Amino acid sequence: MELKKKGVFFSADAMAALLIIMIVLLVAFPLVTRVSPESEVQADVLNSLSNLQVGKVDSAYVQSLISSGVINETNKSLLQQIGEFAVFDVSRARLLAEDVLSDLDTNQNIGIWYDNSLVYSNNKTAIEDADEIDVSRQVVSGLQVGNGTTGFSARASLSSSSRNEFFYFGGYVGDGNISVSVNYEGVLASAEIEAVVNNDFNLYVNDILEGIYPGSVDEFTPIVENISTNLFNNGVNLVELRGENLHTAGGFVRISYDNGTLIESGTKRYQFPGIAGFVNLYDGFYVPGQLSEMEISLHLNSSVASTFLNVGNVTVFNGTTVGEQTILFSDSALSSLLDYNSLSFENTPLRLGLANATYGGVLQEVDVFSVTDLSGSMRASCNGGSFWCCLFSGDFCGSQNTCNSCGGVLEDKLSAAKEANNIFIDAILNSTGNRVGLQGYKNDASPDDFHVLSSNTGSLKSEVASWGAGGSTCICCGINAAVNSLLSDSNSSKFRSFVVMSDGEANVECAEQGSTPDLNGNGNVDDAGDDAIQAACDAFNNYGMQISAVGFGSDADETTLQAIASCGGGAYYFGDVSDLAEIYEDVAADIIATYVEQTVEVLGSVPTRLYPDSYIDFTYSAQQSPFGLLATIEKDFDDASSGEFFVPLDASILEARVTSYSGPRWTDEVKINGAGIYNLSSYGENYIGLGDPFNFVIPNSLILSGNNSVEVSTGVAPGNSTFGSESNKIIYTLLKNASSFSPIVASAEGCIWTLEFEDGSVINVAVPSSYSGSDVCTYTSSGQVVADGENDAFEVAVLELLEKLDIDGDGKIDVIFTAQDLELSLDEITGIPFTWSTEVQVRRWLP
Amino acid sequence: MTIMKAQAWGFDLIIAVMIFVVGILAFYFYSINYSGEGSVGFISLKEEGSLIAESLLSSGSPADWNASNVVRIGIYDNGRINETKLEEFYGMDYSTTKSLFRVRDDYYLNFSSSLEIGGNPVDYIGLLPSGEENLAKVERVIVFNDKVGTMEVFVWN
Repeated sequence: MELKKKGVFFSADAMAALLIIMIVLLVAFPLVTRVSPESEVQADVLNSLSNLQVGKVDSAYVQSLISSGVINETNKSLLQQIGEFAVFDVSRARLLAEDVLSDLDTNQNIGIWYDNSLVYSNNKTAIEDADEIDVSRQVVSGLQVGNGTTGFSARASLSSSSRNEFFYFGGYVGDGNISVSVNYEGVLASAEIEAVVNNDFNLYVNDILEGIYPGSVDEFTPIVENISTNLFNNGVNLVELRGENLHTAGGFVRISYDNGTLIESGTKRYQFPGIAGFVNLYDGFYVPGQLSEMEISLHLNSSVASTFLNVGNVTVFNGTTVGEQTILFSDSALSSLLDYNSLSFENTPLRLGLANATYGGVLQEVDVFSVTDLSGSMRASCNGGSFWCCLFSGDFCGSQNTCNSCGGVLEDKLSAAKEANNIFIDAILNSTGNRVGLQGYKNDASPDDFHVLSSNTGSLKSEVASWGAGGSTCICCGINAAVNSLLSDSNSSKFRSFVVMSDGEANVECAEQGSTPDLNGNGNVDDAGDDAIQAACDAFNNYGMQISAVGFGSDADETTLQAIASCGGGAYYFGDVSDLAEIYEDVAADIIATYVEQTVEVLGSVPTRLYPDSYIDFTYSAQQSPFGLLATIEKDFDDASSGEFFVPLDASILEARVTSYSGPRWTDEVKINGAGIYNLSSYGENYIGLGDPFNFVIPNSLILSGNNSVEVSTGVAPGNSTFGSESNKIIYTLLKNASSFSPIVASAEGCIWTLEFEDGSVINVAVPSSYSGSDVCTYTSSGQVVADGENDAFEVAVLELLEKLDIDGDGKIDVIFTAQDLELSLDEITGIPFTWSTEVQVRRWLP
Repeated sequence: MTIMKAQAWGFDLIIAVMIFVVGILAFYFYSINYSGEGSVGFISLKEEGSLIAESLLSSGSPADWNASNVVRIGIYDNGRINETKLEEFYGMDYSTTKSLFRVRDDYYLNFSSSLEIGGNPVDYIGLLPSGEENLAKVERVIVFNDKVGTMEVFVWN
């Protein structure tokens, strides 16, 4: 037994080892392995559909689609055609795919997807149950599921536009019948006159009565009237204002007409207006380049009165004519008189008038406030008096006698201020029409220390006499109260001014000025001195009120007072008690200086005449104008002193002018973005001999892309400056690319547009003209609406064009055009790589 | 006793060695016969089928080949079957085509579209198997006669 047992030991061990080895091998290397058959079917399907043109497919169904027009491009591949159908109608795509793949005799699971849309399948098991999926991909361009089969891109442009042209009157043209030449070549669309005219007038066009119109309500507010275009002809037209002793104080005739190209010729003509009566012209001109030659032709009849012509401050002519005469000034004569360099790129005043006429005689009426410090420091004080003596003097040396008896010298600032104010009142009210107001200030500007603007000397002096000193020093309170009173009781036709006096330092702030910077440079922001300066700046900048300042005594804060005068456009004076009366006398004299205005008093008949064919020709170095569509925009001033205009980044400025309705005054200063472009006082102090341009050309080099601000002030003498008119405007012409493209979108149908233009006119126009659908689109100040949003190429292109033409973005189109001017072109775009694309996938799968 | 005991151990060891060797050999031959030969054969047939299909679905060489100058047989031009080349191929000697396809096994082709060569209907091209053989099919989608159809390449041995 033992042997037997031992004799099978190795055998049993070998069998066990074999068993273990077999188990391990079977687990690690199974005997049956699945071999997946490789297939190229999915790639073949894709290639076959790509290679076979739809027009060549041997299929009755496909041929029927072609013959019925459902398929209209037979050179497309089947892959594209199925994709086009898939965009809008998957079932049709499926029918086509099933038809063309009907001979596909395979047992394999095949499916065709366009993006995520299954178009065709031939399968026995669902792809969701697949263990293995083979995919072939191809991108089809020009297709986008859900967006159409072809793209459209439209271009909208303006072939031309109505061009606005302005024929300006001068700053002052009179006195008599006034005419202006209006020259154009084209089809006149509209004509309009905007001018300040002193009396009612009859308007004649080419010697035919066009209408009877009222004069302006004042010297700063123009009338605006349409002129019938029927009376105009191509070429030179004469627009004449006839009436009794007429003058215009600025204005223009504006025409709108279809015009071709813009030509920058390098020559320019200033056309004199016609004046029949008393020749009195104040105007100006601008040479838009380096002046090289100049010629003046004066067609004049001044046989009864000597006439002068001033260019800038140079008298070119002074004499009489023999009856009606044309006087020619050659370039050689003018070049010896005038500095052409100083005329180049400059606005130059031009004056034509009668030498011996009595001008104006009109004093400008002034409304002036005296703003007086009544704080405690203004009380009488005894300088040098013995303290103990004064203590027991009974009135603390408050009188001349007790002060002197105690060895001191009485300094009575309040009395000096009262005396100065009385002198001031007398001086100002010495001229008819002037008024004086009074405002004393202490802790505040009390009504007890106030007197309304008045010409009643007695009443004003009574108020002065009632003043007493005490309290703090609120300079800004006094200024603000004076401003408010001037605003409520005066108007901008008068010269509004006030004089501020102080003997100390401002120590009370004003809420009206808000938070102010450190204007007096004392290291503290927003203190009482800063508020006082800011109040003066506000009065001058916002309302044109001129502020003079008087520092009184050794304790006066001269820095603050000087800043008040500087920011207020006035002068600064300083003195002590003994000087004050004299100072106020000087202030009054400066204010009431006799300023002669442009108007003349015509006594009897003065038969002089300036004919409107008179001219000045300039030859200058012309600058090449860039190409583009002209857009002329008129932008009204924001107030009587300034206005803003906007230049888009994609536009080039061609010309910008600012008009100034200065009334009987002169436009004395014009600034663009803070830089001065015109200063009348640089031509002389006697304005009566100087011209007064109505419009000023702003040099293009000073105009910025984006917002620009323009400031205009008027006056009758240097140092006498105030605001102009709220009717001033900026007229600027842009060259702008007036075309736009739409992106590639799904359709191009069109729309009926309602368009609002800057002049208020509204047109309805079908775009394109052949459009007969019902879509309605608007571009008006009420809003911009397109019917089909971003899916209509015409609508998108036109909307983009209109946005370009609405330069100030107010919803009104600044470039006036007609339906005929609007040009549209359309490109139907197919097969646009990388624009629209669809990925086609052919999948083959195994369960 | 001692001798008999040693003999018993010796026989047992010899028998164990024989069992182990026979078992290993039996497993080896079984596994070779069961899986190796069948799988390798099928894959080989598929590869040959793919070779034939790839060659046929090309233009061949030279591009305008004919039976006298052909280097590589291809009947597919511009994404479709070139019937001229198809007829040329059909007229070639079968064994020549095999050598040009560089296959060892036999083959034949079927098309889903009805095939006519020289006006006569043709059911297949190549050599049909005579009995139960190893057979592999490679299926390709083609354009033939302006239709999308299939071409099946059968390789057998």
